[in-house]
Amino acid sequence: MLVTIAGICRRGVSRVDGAGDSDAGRIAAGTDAGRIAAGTDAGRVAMDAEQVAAVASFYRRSSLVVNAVADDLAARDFGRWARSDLVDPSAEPDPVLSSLASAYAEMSATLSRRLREQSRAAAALADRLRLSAETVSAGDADAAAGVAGETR
Amino acid sequence: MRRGVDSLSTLRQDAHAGVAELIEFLGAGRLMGLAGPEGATIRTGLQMVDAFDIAALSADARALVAAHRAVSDQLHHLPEQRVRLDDGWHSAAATRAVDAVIGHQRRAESDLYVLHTLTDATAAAASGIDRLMRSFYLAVARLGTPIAAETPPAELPEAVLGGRVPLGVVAEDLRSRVELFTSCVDATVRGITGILEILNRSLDGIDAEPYPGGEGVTGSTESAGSTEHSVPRSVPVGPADLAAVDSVVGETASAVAVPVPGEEPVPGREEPVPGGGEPGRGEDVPFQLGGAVGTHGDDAVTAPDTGVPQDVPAHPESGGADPGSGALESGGPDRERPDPERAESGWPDPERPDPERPDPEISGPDGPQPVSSSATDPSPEPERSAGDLALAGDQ
Repeated sequence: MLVTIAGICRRGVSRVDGAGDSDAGRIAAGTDAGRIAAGTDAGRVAMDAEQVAAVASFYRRSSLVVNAVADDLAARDFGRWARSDLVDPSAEPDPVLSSLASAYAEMSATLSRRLREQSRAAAALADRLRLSAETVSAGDADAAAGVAGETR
Repeated sequence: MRRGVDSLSTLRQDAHAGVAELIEFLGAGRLMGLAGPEGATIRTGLQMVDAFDIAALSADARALVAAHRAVSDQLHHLPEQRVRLDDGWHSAAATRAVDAVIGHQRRAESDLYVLHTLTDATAAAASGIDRLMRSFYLAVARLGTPIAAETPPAELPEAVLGGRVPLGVVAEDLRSRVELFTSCVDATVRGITGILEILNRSLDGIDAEPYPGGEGVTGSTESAGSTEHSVPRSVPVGPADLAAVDSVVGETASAVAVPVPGEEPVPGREEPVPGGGEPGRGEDVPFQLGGAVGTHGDDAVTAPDTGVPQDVPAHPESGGADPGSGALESGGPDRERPDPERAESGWPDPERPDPERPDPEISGPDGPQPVSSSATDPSPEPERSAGDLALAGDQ
């Protein structure tokens, strides 16, 4: 990313909107050559860093919520309905009901694990998005410094 | 279930009273030489139904409903994130990022569907079993009504001896009551077991399907942890260290051509790459480099393809994340499809067997159950279709 922007700068920046420091945090750069070659916006690089950061924040929040749900499910004692001994200690648990209940509890545990994995995936996605936004911003700042150095 | 536990406990008390009277009748019948089951046998049958704690199953259903609500609230905002990302980021890396977001969305939808299915299955099972038990208790409570000619059990022998009530009528009455009780217990226990077995069938379906991004997710989790540490470093270090554009170019180029861990130039820079950047950075770096360093647009297009695979094997973590998004696209849909089919085909089953197994009386109350379950079936479709529509709209 850093290279890209730097390379673009060196080869000739055709358009730079609000480089890094602008309020919008929007970075856009492209090469005429790239556009011509691709016939479209193939060489266009544009990022609303705040927008991407907001998306990353959403996934971070989502990860926390889903993880909390997974924790709740994991902490819950599913399948108590077969444990007649909880109501009447002298009662013998029904073997059929007990086996059904343990299978049900296992199903709930599986669900909890799935949610936990989803939470982890959301957290990882949030980190990647945030890192990307930060990397692009940093690259743009570096490119700006590089351009200044060349000018100097 | 919705009538409350109190009314069910009242019904249970009435049923216990009815059974007590039945046992009394049977004792009177034995005095007159009529054979019948022992009181303990009758009580055991009643306890078989009592043993099931319907309140606990209803509580499980409520917990799942709450969990489903919380997760679905999040999921409903996922398509929106893709739109925001689409609007706010344009580049080859953005395309990869959107792919990853879509992959995550599919996976999350798949999880939500599982949660939805389990929630509905549990709620329907609780509702059906609740009705079964109510029907059973109502029927059993009736067993205590006075015998023919409104003769209470205590006066029964005397009435028979006095000729007011024929012995044959008493024998037939007792036989039919015992038969009714036995068949009620049988049908109710079989109905409860059948409904729970259907729950377990959906469990088997869920267990059989491996989580698409399971391995990748685990890896990405570790990476996520390291990312958190690496991100702050990269931010300050990146701009500071990269004073010269040329050096930056060289470093990044090496990152693309060689596995990221091979980066020697800037230690501070290297951290973030393996850490959290894996996919995110992997997406960014190769694409940007390909486009920028490749000089030509064509090169830029091909560069990402070569750059990405190099990065992927380089990082075990990135491999975990990439598979997640990549595998999701292929595995996600495959997973989703079977789930619904299985669940939809599995759900009707619960209701079908119910009416068949229980007695006519008991199957009556079950009737509504199909309605609730059939009402649950369509719900997952709207959710998915809403997501699909959102995605289609974006495109």
